[in-house]
Amino acid sequence: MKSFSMVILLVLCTSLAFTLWLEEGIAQPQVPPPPSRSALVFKQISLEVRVVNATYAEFKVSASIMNTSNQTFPYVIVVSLSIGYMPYYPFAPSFASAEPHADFGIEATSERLGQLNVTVDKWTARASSSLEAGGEDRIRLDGWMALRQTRHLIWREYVEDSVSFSFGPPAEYVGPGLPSGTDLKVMFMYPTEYTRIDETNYQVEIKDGYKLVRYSERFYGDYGISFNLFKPRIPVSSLIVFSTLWVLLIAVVLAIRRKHVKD
Amino acid sequence: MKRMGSSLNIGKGLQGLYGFKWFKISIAIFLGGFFIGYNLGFLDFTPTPIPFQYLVPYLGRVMFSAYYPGSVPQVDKLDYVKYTFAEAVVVSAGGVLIGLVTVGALFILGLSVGASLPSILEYAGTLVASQSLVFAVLFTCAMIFLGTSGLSLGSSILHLAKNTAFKIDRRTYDAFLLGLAFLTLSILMELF
Repeated sequence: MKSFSMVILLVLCTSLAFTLWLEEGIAQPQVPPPPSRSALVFKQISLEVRVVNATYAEFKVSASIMNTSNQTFPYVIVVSLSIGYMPYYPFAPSFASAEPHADFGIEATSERLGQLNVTVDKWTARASSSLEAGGEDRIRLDGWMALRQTRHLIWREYVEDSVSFSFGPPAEYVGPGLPSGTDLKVMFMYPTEYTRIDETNYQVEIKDGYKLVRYSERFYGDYGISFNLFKPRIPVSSLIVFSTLWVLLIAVVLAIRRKHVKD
Repeated sequence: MKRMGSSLNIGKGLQGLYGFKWFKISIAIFLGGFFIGYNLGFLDFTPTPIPFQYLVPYLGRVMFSAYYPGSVPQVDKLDYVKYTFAEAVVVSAGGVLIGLVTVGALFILGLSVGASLPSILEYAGTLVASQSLVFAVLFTCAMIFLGTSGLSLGSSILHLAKNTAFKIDRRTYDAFLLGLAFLTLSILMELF
């Protein structure tokens, strides 16, 4: 029994020593840590969106970016559009479209590098750039998009598209927003016949047939804006049938009442 | 001579149905549901909370495409036929539960047809609108006649329970056969 315990102790000691020896033996290459995402600092960010009509909108984004780290910082600018309606009823339609479509266009311009190369994938456009240590750049995005999420009810027509943009490291998962929060100035324009769902929360100016809403929000590396507009409509055809049904009902009620009075 | 006699028989059968109590009740239930459904649809109450228009997908398809533009509907012609046939079976055979199932099904189907119509009138093109309206008329006739036979069957079963004698009115068969004819026409309409 004693010898058996000794054997176990010996095995444990050798295995521990072996792993320690292995760890010492395999030299780990020294990889410099990636620059912290907080190294990107944004300033003077502005977004201007103009919904021209129920099917078309234009937008402009402008941002100053600074690299506060001591090494070159690659980053991507991503512009994403709304992806369409999700099915939630057994008969509800599936995704808006499974095929890639190019119903939007983006131009990305860097103050230092000029026009940036933009790759478009279904609902997303990406432009890559980099900033050297301590460098600063101003990025401008000019885009347009076809509005697809126009929901029709009988008395209202809704525009429910959205657009979002982000600046960050070229990683698949960007994670939580960058800590360098800054003010984003938003200017949102839409035709006067439309109403934004939260319009009462803002001061609305009317300019050249468009309603203009200005506000500012906090920006941490990404931001999205939902249009959420609606306009009233008069349903002429169904109103005629509606009136006919009610006239018929009233006529039947009157005829039956008259018959009762006669009896 | 024989043909003339048979057409006279059909005319006589229809006339008999016109005075049939269950035919009137069936019309009242379906059209009551239709009236409520149309009003709800017209006043925009139907798209999300009340999914009645999903019960008649052939009519509901216009509403789906207006409500979710650019989307691909997940129903095809086979689904249209399956739903119409299943509803016809429920309406007519539901009579065995002393007509209670028939009453409920007639009312809900009337509601479904009525709720779908405003979208069709507002957003469908001329061809789709006219196809849908013809289908709505055929479907309504089929359901009313099948409902008549279902309700009459229910009353016969109730009579059997009370009097231990099963007695069924001849007009029940007429209503059932007419309902089947309209059902076939509405299914053909869905297919082409």
